[in-house]
Amino acid sequence: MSNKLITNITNAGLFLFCIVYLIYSFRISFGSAGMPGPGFLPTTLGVIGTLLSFGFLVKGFFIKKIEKLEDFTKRGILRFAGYVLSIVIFLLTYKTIGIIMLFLLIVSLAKISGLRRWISSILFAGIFTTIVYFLFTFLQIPFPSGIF
Amino acid sequence: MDALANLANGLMSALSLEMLLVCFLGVLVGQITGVLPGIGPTGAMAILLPLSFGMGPGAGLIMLAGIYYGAMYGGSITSILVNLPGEAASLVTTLDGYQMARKGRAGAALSIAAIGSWIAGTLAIVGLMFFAPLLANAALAFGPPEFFALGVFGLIILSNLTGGSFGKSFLMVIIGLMLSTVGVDLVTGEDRLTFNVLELSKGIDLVPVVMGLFGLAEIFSVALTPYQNNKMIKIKLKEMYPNKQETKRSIWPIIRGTFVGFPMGLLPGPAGFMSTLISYRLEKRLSRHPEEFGKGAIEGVAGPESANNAASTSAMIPFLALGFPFSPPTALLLGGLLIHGITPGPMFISQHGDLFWLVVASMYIGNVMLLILNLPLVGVFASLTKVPIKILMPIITGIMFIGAYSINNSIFDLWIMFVFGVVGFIMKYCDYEPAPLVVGLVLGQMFEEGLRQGLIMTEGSFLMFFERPITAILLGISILIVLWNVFKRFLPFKKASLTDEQEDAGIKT
Repeated sequence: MSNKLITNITNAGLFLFCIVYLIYSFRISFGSAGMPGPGFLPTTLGVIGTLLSFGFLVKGFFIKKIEKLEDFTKRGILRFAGYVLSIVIFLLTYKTIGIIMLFLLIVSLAKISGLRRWISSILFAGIFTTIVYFLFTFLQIPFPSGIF
Repeated sequence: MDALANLANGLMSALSLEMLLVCFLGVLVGQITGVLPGIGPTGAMAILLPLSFGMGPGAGLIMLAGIYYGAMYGGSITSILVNLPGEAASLVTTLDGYQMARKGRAGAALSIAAIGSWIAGTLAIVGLMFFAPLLANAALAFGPPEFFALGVFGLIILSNLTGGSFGKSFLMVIIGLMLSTVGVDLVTGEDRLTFNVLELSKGIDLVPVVMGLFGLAEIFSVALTPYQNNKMIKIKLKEMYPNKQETKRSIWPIIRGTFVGFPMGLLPGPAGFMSTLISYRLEKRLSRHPEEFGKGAIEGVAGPESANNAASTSAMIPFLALGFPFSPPTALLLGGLLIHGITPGPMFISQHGDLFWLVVASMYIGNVMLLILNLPLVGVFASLTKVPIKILMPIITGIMFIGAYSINNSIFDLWIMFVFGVVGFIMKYCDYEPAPLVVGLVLGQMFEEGLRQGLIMTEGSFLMFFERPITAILLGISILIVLWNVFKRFLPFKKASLTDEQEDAGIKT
């Protein structure tokens, strides 16, 4: 994967964000210079942001130098994707299921990060979750109640 | 004399068992996380921010401040022993620190780094003690236009000093300001850009944003890059301390480093890193042995390490006196205070004087703790670099998520953190700096209030902002900086080349 491609996609994303922000800011009352309304700053920022991000988007297409990113190995991308997927599943279920999801998240991340044996990952996650549970209970920091 | 009496009161509170424990916990955790690969002071603070939630505001702030300067100390250990800077500000230390270690003088380099950091940190706290209340008193006379102008000035300077592209940093500031406008408008009560999402009505919370941008993004980066085993240079006990000549050669660089770092910390941007570069160049220029630099000159460790610590301490002045977090770690400290319902600003020292002096006193104590911890235990801390990443990353990720949840009992906050984690990760590969975005988000509300109230006061005339001396100066400088950045590419001279030491350290401008 090249740096240019990622930069162009990011610039397009930023431009899209700014233009959507600008469109929505038009729906808020602008007021006047002497009596600025809640939309005064958002509209101004939207205009500046859209112009700037459009500038970077256009500039990005004219970059000739293409650098290969050394960090992007197949194994690294898979590990990153595994992290993202594990976290998304955790976020979708944490409130409903509770602390067990933390245990499963740690098992999953440990496997993805390179702990080979299942038993090591399960033991590691079990010890971590237990310590965290008692530490947070002691400090009166809440968990979602979940299924328990 | 008032300052000394207040400091004495602060010391009395800071020497209580609870505060000593919290301070020790902060510096210890900071030291450990500063040594661990991939986590700088900002990441460490971002990860551990929720822990301060269960404490009072004083204890929470002391712990976070301890993590901040503890991690700064820790960063120098890996720079010297592994040639791996724990954070950007320790990059310059690798140049001579690692070379000293290869010559068997690792202990001396580490001791001088610790002693220099302690001296610089302590002197900078003295400066903080006297300057912060003065600045806060001066700022009490500020009206909305002045605060607006100060906000503009801070954001423009920050865009200019992040080390990357001015335009990209400026865009990040704008996006940070955009995010700050989400939520109910405080003047009219009108919903802005909430898309009928209840959680957005109160605005985008700073804490999950910084935890995502600085903590989770770092975890994603580590997950993506190939794992490495660090080869560490061992330290022998007899080589632990600097000899007479090394001590003598370090005294003036430490003092000069302090005076270089202190004013740098008052400016927005990567003050710690910039101050180390300036200090290194200064020492090389003033040295009788400039040829030794890059080959193990002790001045190349003493100066930059002192400058870095002085800058990180003086960065607390604009934060505590004006409520302006000009660096990511101080933005996190702000997050820590906001969790407890305290908003720093010019009124902070007068309204929460006890808290201010408690933090100042705890910084003295924390610096002494770090010195005591570092001199005999440096080998133990250094061995932490051997902790495998496959163990470290799941632990840090787990702590971050349950910690972020605990602040508001909100899954929505976790989603925000996740989204900004991904955003921060992508930004890193496209040379977009997250710090300006965070500062834009933090300063947004004050910036908008200043602008709107200022415009009402001046009946819509922007020109009247220039009739007030402070606003005129601040806005004038800001405009000049923007014009300079826009037109400098058309001027008939080439961009200055990289300095030798930047090239040696592999730093891009």
